[in-house]
Amino acid sequence: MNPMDIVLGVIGVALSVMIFSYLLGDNFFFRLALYILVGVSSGYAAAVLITKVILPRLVEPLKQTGTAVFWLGLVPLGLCLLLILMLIPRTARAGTLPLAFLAGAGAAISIAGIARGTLAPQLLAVVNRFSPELLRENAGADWGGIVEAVFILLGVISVLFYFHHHQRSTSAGAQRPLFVEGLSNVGQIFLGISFGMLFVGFYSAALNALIARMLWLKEFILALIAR
Amino acid sequence: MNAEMITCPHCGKENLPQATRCVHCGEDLDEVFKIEGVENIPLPSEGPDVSVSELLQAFRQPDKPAEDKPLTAGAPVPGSLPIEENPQPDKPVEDENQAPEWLTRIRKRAQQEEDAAGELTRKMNSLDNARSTSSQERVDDEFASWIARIRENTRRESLLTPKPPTGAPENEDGVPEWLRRVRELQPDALEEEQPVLGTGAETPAGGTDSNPALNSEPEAEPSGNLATDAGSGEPTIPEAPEQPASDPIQSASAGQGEELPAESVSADMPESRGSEPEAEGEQNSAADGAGTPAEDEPPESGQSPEVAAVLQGIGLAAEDAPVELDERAGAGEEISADLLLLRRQKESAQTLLNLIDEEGKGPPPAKTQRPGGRGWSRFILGSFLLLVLAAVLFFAPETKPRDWENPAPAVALKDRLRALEKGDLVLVVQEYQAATSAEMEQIAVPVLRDMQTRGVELQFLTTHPNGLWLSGSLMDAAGIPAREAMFLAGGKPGVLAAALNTDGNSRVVPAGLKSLDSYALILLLEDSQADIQTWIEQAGPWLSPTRLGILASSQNAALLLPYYDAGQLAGFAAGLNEGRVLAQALDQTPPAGAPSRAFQAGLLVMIAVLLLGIISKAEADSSAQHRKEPGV
Repeated sequence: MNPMDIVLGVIGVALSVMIFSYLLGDNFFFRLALYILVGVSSGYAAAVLITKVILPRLVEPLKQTGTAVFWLGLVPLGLCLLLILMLIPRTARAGTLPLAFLAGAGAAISIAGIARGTLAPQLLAVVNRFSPELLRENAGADWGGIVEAVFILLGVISVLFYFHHHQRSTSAGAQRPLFVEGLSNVGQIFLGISFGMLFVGFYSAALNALIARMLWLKEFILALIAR
Repeated sequence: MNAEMITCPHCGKENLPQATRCVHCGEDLDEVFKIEGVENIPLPSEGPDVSVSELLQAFRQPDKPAEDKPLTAGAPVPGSLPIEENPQPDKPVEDENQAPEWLTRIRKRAQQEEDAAGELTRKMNSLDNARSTSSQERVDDEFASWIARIRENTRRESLLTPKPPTGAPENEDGVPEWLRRVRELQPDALEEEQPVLGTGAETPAGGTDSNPALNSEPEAEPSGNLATDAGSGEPTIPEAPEQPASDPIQSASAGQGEELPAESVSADMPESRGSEPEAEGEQNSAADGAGTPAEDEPPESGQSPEVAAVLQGIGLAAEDAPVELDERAGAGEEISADLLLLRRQKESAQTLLNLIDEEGKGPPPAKTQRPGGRGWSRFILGSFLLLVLAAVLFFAPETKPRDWENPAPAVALKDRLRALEKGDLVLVVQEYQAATSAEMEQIAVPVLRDMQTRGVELQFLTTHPNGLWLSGSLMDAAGIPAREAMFLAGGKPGVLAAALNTDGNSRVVPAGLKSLDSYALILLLEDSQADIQTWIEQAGPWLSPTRLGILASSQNAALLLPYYDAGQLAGFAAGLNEGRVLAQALDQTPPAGAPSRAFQAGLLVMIAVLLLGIISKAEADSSAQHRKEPGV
């Protein structure tokens, strides 16, 4: 372990302890570590974006005067200038144009992607599980697969019932039929399982990160002692 | 409209009859407190030394017909003053059933709302009751207390309401900006007011040629209410109602009496119209609902000293001058605009009342106090978790990793990796954060090492800035010669642009990035659900399902499974356990993995915390239920 590793290790230990100090409540050391993290991250991201995006995509095309690339480069330049005008209160409304363009394009891309990449394939997957061809391909009935498909279908329908009729019942206050109420409750169970699984996933990931950090601390301390 | 402009007692300039404050000097005009009946009471004619009791006696008189001549003030308009003879002495007074529409609306609204209009009605009722009583002292007391309340309210409003700017802009009609905005709140009122104005303008003049004001403006002030002394030209106050009404009229008609501002004291009395020879046109205009003031009426000079003295004697100082209750048929919409002001004044009064209620109480706490013990419980639980993990890591021996059953997605990914041949191009997309880099590197290193040893060509791409320096660490761990990772900016649009870059000549993607179809495998290293979905939704539809493989952190396993079942992924391995399976299948050294005992201890602590939370929450709910329903 060279001196630089020791210095960096001590800094890492200090920052880790500062973060752990949040257990005592919001304090100066925790905020200091947080500000360091945000500041360093922002600075690094800004440097990357300048060197990887702004210079090659915005500045370089403007050097090629008279070409199509130059004229196309004026479009992002103008939008950037409009965004910069948002810094001035009197001209802040000018920045709504590029922001509206970004929001509109982003929403369109997201909706199209969700429909094409998630909704349609997932619905088809549910439907295809009941395809007779799957049963014909196998010598006998794949009861496990059929049960799994039924559960998937039940989960989809019950969750949809829960959201749809839960909204209606809460808004109108009307009494729902028993069948609908039962199906909605089943959907609630599926939702609870899903959220529980998500929570376990997040907690286990955080726990893994914590264990990794503590392992690093342990190894660093042992290395210092052995030195 | 200018004919009935009220004159500010402070600056002497004209204001609209609806104005509660002078638009020129900002002083209160107090036109909001209009009292029905006050305007009908002729003032005694003795001059400035009229006593309060005499004035109150005049209040007690029933509404007099037209012989009760009003006190007239204002600029001298020859020929426009009342004539001594009253051709229609017994014009009937408007009773309750014959009340004009605007008055009916006010009363109705006063009954519906507890606003200033209600206050007004209450005071009017008390005044009426006072009229019927025989005790003058009682009337005096009630009247004095009533006036005191009005003055108190006015003082509070003057304290609460901000002064309008003295230089308030006026349009060409002389209407202040604030009044125009108030009227905009009631466009119906404006729409109805316009034809009223037009009707008034078209009403034929009923006056003589010697009265240009009345000739030009037939709907002008109907003879005023205050008469002036004939000889001196000073305004006189008529005698008590039992006196013949001809006296003040005589004095006024003597020639040079100048009209006092009618708005300063009393309202236009319909019965007084009949006393004027020129009143024919005025009656017509009033009947047409066109009681709009004449525009050419000269500006009033303010209250006369006599009237001011009388008002001062009864507690109505200049700033608290009695307001006019316009009884013109066409003025109802103007009153409705005033009601808006009354409502605002009531809200202001309520605000003041709330402030008074809060007086003496301590200021509210600047910061919400957290329930006590919460910080300590967090500290205890966090410290307990850290201590348990540290104890397990330091003292508990690590167990041998359990052999997991081969998960189908990991096996499918292993098969896809095995299908790669020497020279195939693989795009490795790094999209994880530094916090999960330890886990991700343990999962990815065996796979990258396997491809590197088999001669597969690797390209590194990242969409996160920190992926640029994390790639170096990953390459070092995998034994891959260092190379620069490409940076794809733009998030979802950037990924979509890369997917649509079929010819590889797009200028919006990094220079070294080829068409995604040219890669034998696109291997995503992900720790974020959003990034996974971005690639599956934006690039997946344009790619063959066998070209998308994922190595992810453990929390993403649940998200990836449906995509794999739907056939949108070639395979995936999520978490260290599946990474271990994949590495073993690739004949690579499996990752060490997280200390299983520490992980289990952490899970146990979390389960215990959850159970404690559930129990304490149930206990708290039960206690709350008991407090709410002691019998339960």
